[in-house]
Amino acid sequence: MEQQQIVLELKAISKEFPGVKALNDVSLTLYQGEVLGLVGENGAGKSTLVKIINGVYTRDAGDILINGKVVEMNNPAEAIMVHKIAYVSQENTLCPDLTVAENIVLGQWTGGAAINWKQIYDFAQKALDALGLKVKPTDILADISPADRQLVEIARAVSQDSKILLLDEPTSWLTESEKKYLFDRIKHLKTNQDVGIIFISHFLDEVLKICDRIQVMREGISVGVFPAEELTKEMLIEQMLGQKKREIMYDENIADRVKEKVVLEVRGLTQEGMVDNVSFELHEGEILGITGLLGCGKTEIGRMISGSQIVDGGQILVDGEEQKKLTSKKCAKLGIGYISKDRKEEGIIPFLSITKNITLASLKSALGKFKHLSLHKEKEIAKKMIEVLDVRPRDPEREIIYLSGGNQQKAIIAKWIQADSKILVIDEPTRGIDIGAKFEIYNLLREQAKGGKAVVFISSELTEVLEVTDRFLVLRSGKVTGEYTHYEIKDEHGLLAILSV
Amino acid sequence: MSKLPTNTLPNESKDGFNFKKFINKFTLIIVLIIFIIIFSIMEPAFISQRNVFNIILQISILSPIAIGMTLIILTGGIDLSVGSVLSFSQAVCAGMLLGGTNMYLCVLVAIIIGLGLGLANGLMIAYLKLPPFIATLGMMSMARGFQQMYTMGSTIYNMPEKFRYLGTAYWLGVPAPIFLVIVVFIIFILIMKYTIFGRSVYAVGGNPQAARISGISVNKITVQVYTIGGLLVALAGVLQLIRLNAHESSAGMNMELDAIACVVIGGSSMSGGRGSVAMTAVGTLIYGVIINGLNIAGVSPFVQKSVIGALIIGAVTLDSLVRNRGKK
Repeated sequence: MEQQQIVLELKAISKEFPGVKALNDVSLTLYQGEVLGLVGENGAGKSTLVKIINGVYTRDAGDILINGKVVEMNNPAEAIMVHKIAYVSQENTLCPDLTVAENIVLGQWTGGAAINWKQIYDFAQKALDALGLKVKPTDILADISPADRQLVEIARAVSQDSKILLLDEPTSWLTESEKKYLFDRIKHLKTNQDVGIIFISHFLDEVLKICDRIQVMREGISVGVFPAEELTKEMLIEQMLGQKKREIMYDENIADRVKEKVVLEVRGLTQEGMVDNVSFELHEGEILGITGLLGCGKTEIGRMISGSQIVDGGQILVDGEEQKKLTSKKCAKLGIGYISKDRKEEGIIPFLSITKNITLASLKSALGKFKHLSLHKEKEIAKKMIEVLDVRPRDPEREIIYLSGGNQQKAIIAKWIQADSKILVIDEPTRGIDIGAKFEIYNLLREQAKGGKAVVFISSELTEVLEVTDRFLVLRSGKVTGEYTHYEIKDEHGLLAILSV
Repeated sequence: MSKLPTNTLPNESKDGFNFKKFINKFTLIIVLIIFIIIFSIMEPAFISQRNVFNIILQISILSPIAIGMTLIILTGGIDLSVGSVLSFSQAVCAGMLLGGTNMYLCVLVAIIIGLGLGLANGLMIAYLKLPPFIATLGMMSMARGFQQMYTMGSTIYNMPEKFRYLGTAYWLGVPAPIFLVIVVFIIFILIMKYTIFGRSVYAVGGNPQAARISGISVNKITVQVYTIGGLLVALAGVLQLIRLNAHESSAGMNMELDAIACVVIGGSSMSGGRGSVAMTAVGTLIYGVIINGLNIAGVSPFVQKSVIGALIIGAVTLDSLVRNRGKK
């Protein structure tokens, strides 16, 4: 292989967020005309690294060099306009109310004060043609399909004449033929235009297919860089996971705990574009897992069975009775509690105290003599919960926003325990939570199950899916592709292999 | 992993935390006391019993409106129509009184109008999903239009003797309206603190998604706060009619701004979820003290308006600075 020029180099990059070291001394080299794959589990640091390249985050330590020269990279504007770095991610960075053409030229049009629309539309059309996109430059972004929107983002990146292209999970929303287009374009870009491309994806087969070299990240460090042709999927998985320390153990005694009674049954659950004919049963005392990669539909299932999302087709039966048009209020009455993965947006009432958050779903039980809200009774309830769940700091009056993620999560779970929920639907139960609190939450859920409650445990964290759930469903593109237990899939490597198919 | 809020937290130590809360609560009262002292120095008559009564009487009509506005702002909404709704409900009440109708019936009709228009606001916002600003802006024009149609722009005066009793009555040596102000404030302070409804208002304003997931009917609470707001506005209108003995064509003009000023000076957050009726009480008092003090000092009403404006900007800026410490 002839020696190509190095277009981007990262040296010893470190980045810390409060409570977690996201990147620890990470280095990376990107050559002109190559596709470098970046793989790793959730939280390994891939997105963080790429956001540092893109100026969205500022690094705590280390250097960024572009074409051999050290650069500052303090903000995305610098990345886009000065260094011509193009970045396409899962998050929506475009403006849904503007046209496709306007979105393509967003932030990079230097045509002067007066807008020459013909120029803009021609430019946009060229970019769309380069990708074989059928949408028109005058289409409003919000009106075209999510897959097309993703491709417009890529067209935008491609049109910038960049020499560095960062693709963060670009294929999650694409069909097979759309993926083929994308890979063709990527090949074209690297061969004919000498673009250096970083390709992040959970789908290891794709990574092995399209990348020249692959860099593996694990828990904030770079484990190694390997030529793609020398790797197999198993080797990749091994590098990604390393030696897993097993601290939480699978509960061997589920036969005592899990009862015959079906508390929740789902038949043919469908939601346009996201969930396709999903069926399962949840038993009393059971912890049922649902897992899968980005975009598999597991979050949507959780929302549908807890009244937070419209159901397009299928049936939901609670204790044998069909429930139509579920709302959150109905679910609360039925005893279904929902713990969203977005704690800040949907979990806590930020400036209310821990006490008030805990009693929010069961205010009727805190009524005093004159049917008024007894603050004293409330405080007693909260104090007990705080004690039992070990919420810290043990200050019932503290506003919940000042608690750490783990303690907030415990308070939210407390809310549903206090409301006497029979079914807990919890999405990403321990995301962003330190290891100590993680175990507390696992034990908490197990206690609830022992006490006759049922848990729908939606998660993308391999270890907890394997060890905390009694059995779990694997989802891909909205469909259930299999049901497994800890016995069939012995470890995280096996699970990741199944997920990354 | 990015969205952890901890790097914008104020000092977390127990002592530091309590101190900050203490400062927040008492800053307002300290400000109030400072203004009282300043005005008393400028004009000793300021703190005479007569003037103290005057101050509270002057804010007696604004108070119920400010209370309703507090509930609405706590849910993250706003009501621009209060002045107009007041004028229309008051006009109809006055017209009926002049026509000889039983005075209790007249007051009831005024209340029903207030409730009805408030309900309309709430329904538009909760179910038609209109932004509160837009919905109540529309209602502001509509209600003012209704009033103009009803009164043809004229003043309605000379209310029946019996009706005016409350306006001039003294109970235990204190003007009756003052008791009303205090009672209404106390009622709503209690409601917001000790009822499920009050708690739900805070939840909806703090995080409507989380509130909904916890089983609270966000739409119902929304409709309720605007309806209650309408009720309080109608009551304020009736009280004003009693005190002025006339319904003027310009009744309620710009009152929404004064009501919002009281809530904002009292420190409630415009984005909802934070604040209280008690704080609005202090804010309303500060408002009353300033207007009265500037009057006594001989400052022109035009300058007074600018002072209130500056106060609003100052209050919100202070609140914003404290809240956004450390954020980029």
